[in-house]
Amino acid sequence: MRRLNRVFLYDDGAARALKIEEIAKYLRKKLIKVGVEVRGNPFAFYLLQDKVSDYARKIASIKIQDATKKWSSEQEPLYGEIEYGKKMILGKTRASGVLYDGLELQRLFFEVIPGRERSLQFVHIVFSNRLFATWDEHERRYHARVNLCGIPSIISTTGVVEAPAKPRGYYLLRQQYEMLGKDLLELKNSFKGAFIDYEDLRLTEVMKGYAMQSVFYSLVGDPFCQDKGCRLYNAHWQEELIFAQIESEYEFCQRHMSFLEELNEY
Amino acid sequence: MNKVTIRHPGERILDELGIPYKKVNQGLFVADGPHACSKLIASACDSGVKFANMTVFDDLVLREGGRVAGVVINWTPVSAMPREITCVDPVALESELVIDATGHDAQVVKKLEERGFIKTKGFGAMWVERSEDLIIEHTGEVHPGLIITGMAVATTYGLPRMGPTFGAMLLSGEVGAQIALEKLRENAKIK
Repeated sequence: MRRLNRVFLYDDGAARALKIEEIAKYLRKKLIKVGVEVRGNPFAFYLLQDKVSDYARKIASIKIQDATKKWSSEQEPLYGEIEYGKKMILGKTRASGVLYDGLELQRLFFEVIPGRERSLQFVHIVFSNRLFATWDEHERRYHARVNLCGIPSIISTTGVVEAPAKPRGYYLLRQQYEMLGKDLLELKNSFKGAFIDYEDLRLTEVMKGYAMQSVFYSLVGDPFCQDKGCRLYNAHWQEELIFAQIESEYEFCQRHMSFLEELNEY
Repeated sequence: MNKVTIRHPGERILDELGIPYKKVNQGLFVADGPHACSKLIASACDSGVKFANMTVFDDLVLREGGRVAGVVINWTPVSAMPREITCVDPVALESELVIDATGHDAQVVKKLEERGFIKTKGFGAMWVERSEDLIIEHTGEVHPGLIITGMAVATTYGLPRMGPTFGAMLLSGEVGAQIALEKLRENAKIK
């Protein structure tokens, strides 16, 4: 098990319902001997003003247009896409819904982190409202993700709504609602509580578990757990996610609890 | 009457133009389609818009560096009848700016693409909640001299489509108009 030096939390336009300070407080409780620092927007924190356009272009060029086609570095972004990228970097808009290649996005965040902090001793966690996906070679298509662990770990507040599957009945009804232009709010109300929604009041609580997955990635190299009641469970359904993060009687399984105890004893 | 749905904050435009509507839910409004469209057209005319009725967009006027400097139009029947009896030359309308508000077809942008100046992405799958905001955020100048608004924005940038809801269409038009005014002011300063 590695020793951790510090945890840094960033806000890349994450959902308004997310209280990053509360997550920092939670992490300080769980990781008694590790400093936790909230740094705000990663681009604003590290990037010089003249680099904003460069990064806006880079981010615009990693947009996924077709989930069945793997991203190619030859993609040329349009002027309007770069302008949107700039607005996102500068925090002038929170309009999300563009899909990005997750690994490329992670690489761009990695580029802006100073070399001295590019180590697993430092846990960098970026909360973002960008939706990202990773390419599955077997299925030959992209899959939306809630988080991607590494340096830095990125966690999507849009992904937590869109990536884990909602109840099957919801999708069937949703098709009808969209085609008829009916009010989706009414549909959501009939499934209220069954999934995490945009600006959901449970978001911060859920994200605490995802932040811990990033911590465990740095600690032991594996962010996930097989135990469905452990916060580190890799949920593929909203029902599983809500159980692991909110409804379970315990936070962590015995094994992961002992890792934390060991870390706090150092 | 056929209904159109408008999401918040699009109802502000309905208020401004005096278009009657009903609130059906938090953030969702419904208006009669023909009534809403008639008022929109009337207020555009009141503001000085001239319609070239029974005409079709045919091509672009391009100037230095591929700047869009107008459109080429022709009479609609010309395109529908045999060439032998309708050999009518098109008309070029020169302008400082062109605004493509042709919806999913994005006809002006597509013509620019035919000429190799741009590569459109085609609109994405339906995602009602996200598409409206994204379209407003992407509304603007896509190429020197060419501004895009409404669903033409989705086609150009590959943004999600939104189904039968029109709040973003109204607001995107407003944003497009503001950008056009800024550009005209900039051009006037340069001259």
